[in-house]
Amino acid sequence: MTNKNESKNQIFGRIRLAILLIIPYIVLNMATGGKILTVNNLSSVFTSSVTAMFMSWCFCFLFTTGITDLSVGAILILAGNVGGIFAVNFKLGTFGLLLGSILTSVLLLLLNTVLRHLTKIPSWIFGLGAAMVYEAIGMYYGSYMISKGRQVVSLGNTARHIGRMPWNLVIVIVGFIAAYLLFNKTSVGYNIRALGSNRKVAEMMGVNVQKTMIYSAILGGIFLGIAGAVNESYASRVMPVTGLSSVALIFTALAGFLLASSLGKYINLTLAIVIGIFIITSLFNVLTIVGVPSGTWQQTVMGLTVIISGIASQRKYKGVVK
Amino acid sequence: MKRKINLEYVLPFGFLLLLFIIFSIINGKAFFRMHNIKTIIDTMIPLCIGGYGMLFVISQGSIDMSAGSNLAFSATLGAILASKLGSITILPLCILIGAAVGFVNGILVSRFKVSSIMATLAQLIVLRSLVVVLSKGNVIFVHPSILKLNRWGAKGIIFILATIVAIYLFQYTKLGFSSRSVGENEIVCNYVGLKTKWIKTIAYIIAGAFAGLAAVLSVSRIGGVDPNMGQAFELQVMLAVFVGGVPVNGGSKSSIVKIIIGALLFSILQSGLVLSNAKSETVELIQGLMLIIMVAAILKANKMSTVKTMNE
Amino acid sequence: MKDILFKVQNMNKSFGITRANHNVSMEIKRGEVHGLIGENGSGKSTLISMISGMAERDSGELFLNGKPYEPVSPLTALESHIGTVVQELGLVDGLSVAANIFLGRMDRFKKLNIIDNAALYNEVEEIYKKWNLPRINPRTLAGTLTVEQKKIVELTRALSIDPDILILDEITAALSYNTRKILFDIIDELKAKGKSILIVTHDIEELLDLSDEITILRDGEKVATKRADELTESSLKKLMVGREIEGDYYRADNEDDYKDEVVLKINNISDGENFNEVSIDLHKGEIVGLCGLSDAGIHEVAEAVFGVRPIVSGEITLANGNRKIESASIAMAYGMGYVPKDRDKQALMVSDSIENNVTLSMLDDLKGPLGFISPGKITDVGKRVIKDYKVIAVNEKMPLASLSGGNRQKVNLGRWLLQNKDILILDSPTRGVDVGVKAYIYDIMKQLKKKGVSILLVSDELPEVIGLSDTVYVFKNSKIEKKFRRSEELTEEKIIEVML
Repeated sequence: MTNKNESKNQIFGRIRLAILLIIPYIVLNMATGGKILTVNNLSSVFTSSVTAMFMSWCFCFLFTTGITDLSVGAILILAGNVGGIFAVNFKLGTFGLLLGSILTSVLLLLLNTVLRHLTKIPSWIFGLGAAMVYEAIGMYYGSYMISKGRQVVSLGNTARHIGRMPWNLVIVIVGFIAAYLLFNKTSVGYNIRALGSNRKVAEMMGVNVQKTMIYSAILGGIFLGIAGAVNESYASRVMPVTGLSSVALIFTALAGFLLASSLGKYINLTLAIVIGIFIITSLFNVLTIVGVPSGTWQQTVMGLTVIISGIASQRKYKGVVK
Repeated sequence: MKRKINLEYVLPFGFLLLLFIIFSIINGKAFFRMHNIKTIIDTMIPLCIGGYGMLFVISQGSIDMSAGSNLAFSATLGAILASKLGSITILPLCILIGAAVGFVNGILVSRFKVSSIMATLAQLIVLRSLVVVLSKGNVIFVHPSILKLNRWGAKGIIFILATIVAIYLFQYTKLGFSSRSVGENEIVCNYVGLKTKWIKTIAYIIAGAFAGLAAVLSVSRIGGVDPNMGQAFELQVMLAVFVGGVPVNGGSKSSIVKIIIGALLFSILQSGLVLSNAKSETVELIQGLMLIIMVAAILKANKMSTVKTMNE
Repeated sequence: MKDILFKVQNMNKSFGITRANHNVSMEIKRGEVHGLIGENGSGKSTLISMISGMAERDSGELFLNGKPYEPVSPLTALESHIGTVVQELGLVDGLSVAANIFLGRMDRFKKLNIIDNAALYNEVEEIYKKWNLPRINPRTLAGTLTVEQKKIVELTRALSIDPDILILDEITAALSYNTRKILFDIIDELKAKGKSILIVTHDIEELLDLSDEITILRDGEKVATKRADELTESSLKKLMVGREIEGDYYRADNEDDYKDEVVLKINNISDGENFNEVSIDLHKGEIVGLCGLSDAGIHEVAEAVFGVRPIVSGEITLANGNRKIESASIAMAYGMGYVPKDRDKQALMVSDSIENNVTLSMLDDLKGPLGFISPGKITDVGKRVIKDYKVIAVNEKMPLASLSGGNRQKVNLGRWLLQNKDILILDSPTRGVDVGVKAYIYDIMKQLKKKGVSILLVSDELPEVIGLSDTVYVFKNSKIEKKFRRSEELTEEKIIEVML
């Protein structure tokens, strides 16, 4: 195929995709009597997508290298609480929130990376074990606070603005630019993508696997940390959980990531993530507007979305899947 | 001829012995009381049953994260249907429903090539929410005759039968052999003419069926259906499986005996911690650490034994 | 006496008990082509992987321009102007051609930490021009390239550092005739500039043609280094193998010899990608050989005939019962067996025992009442294979990983031989196997033929195909180009002419 044909195909594909994505919005808007395409509604959809977007960008750097780390949800909770402590107890405000959250995420993801390397355990099972440990730590903190007659840290009025418009819009734009550049245009980004595409070859070409894994943990941790901060800022308080319930926090981001990967042919992954997550959150928004109560059927739809996205992203895959 | 020390059996056994000693010291007499022994066995049985089913999936190198939600779903749907069709039918119904759920898992993984973690995670979510929808968030009580199944006689028979069936299917049939081989190298199985798609699907069906059986036992113990039942069940089963010495990637070293050892280990640990009044977060912390340490140790042990034979 | 550019001194490397390289020493002179040859398992690739920084040595020294050379990673080798094209590497499919060429060395294109794509692509074009390489768009995703194009990109990567030493490990087989000419021109140019080339190839004629000096390895040790003009093909072979290769290595007869009965009819099959319109009639007791370049589709045809690879048109029919082969399980059930090309990845479960590997293909035969398969029976089969085929192993429970390549192949074949199959598909059956086992396998094939078994042989080794087959099909560009019958006049040259 010549170059000209390739880029023509690309452009047509993108236009087709754009039309495909916009039509449902218009149709549903008419069906619900104009409730969807209002500024209010769209900004509320956007706001509830931000945490998942940053988590998904974290996956860009972390999961692309072939790691499936399910402890990310438990880390999100811890990160949010540490951020809260920095913001409120250490009186560092928004800066503290971001600092605490990012530090926690980066450190824990690095710890995971080092331990995985030492023990040589497959990433998914390590993630489960780590999730349990991190959940337990969160619960210890919770019990400790209860014994003092209080609850886990709440932001109150401090640092609440990054969870809402217009600040979260600013953060997303900055985050997107950073993710795009870091993932596509730095040598680290190339190395990460190389490892994910064909690890053996990348190694033989001289990519330093250990160093790249560490970088992917650090970069992933930064985005995860921002997710934690935004999440804490939005909710004011994030309660620790047990029994691997933290894994549920990953679902939207994961579904978005899988969906974005399947769109990868036409749109750059970092941009596809923004679109993918926005679509999924809109889905729930529509369900809510139409009257489906959250928590039950919405969860069913969520599960189905993960499945469908998973299928879509695997359609061209010819290898062995476990 | 030198006798090889099978570290992969020694490690879990050794750990078991260690736990036994630790908890009998810490908890003293309470540990050996009939009540505690009953609790241990009570915990062990559903774990074994869930583990038997999951072993087929794990030996192939895959995972089933939906076992707990499957348990709840089969129990709920089974109870609802049994109240209309007669209470004895709950036993076959739960098993069938569990198997049907397993079938869906199997199709997703073998036909649609979704990775087993994603597919079964997604099922977990869907099933959990369906349970809430079906039960409307309430506890459903079942006919008292079902409680009979919780008696020692009945439970014992079910457990022994399940174990015999599981051992037979896994160790002595083509299905079990093929499952382990798929875990060793799926490509080879394809090239030798084995129907790997079918093997994967059947494994999930079996896993689902055993989850359904565990559901029946659960229902008979609680006396009804609780929307939160089976929460973290898959986690406990996985702990039992891996801590018992089954390699994480499955393969030829998977066996039913390891499930029994692992379930026993888990139950003793659980009961010991509870007797010591440990907080639930401590339990979870220890479980998480135990999982990581055991899996790493078994991995190392298996690697060392391969290197050893290479050098002989 | 020409200057010594690169010196290898007493290199040692072992994998477990296997000594891949034992006290190997050699010298590469400036401005020369140094050939490296040896049977499979002789240690060539191990030596190259150590020189190019891909593997660590156990002991030994390397000297570049008289100074000690310690490659800690493939990138160090590149920095020292040593460019390597490895035999079975490939590219990172998900990245562009340009990214593959400069992976790990992107820093020079950075402007404020961001990579300047324009500069990157430009540099690639410059390299194409400089070495007169066929132009492959640097933006193209590597996964969409053909096998030959990928080799060219690998070559470009090796040339991009302006190598003082260019190492080529089995590259020519993947290249088309024209590209080969370009490569030879590059080699001449490098020589003229006083640079050196280390070349590994199985093609003995080509090796003698290109090289100035040749080092022969056998069983991990260096046997000799000689000037190319001092060697002939047979003296070289003798050094490689250490004994006279008996004439009866292949078949003694010179004419095709098989029954009239057709056992398998391959009718106009295509898989839509790798081969088209392939029709072959396999007769009882016939050995049919398929040969061609690496992307001619022969390996894929073998997969399709056994039912592992789906076909989009045509059909494969077993004469016995008029059965269509639509899946591997059908093929298995009706008397067919298949030995895949990649032994360790496609044919054997390497960390599993001998007995488990052998019985994997005969589970249905071992079933008793209620589907019961007795572990005793499995052990018996394992013991039989070891005894019948003289497999060197402690016992049947040993993992295959502890066996040598030749013994693994014996287990691989044994699995099918124990089942008395009527039709066997063998893809590269003597790959990675020492001469002794090779002869053994050829013997088995001759015996099978006498018993009336039909064999479909796919092989990259022309002498093997010519030596054993009753009928040879030469593939080119995914189609059958010509069919030859066994005869004394059939030579390698005739086939190569058609193949290219």
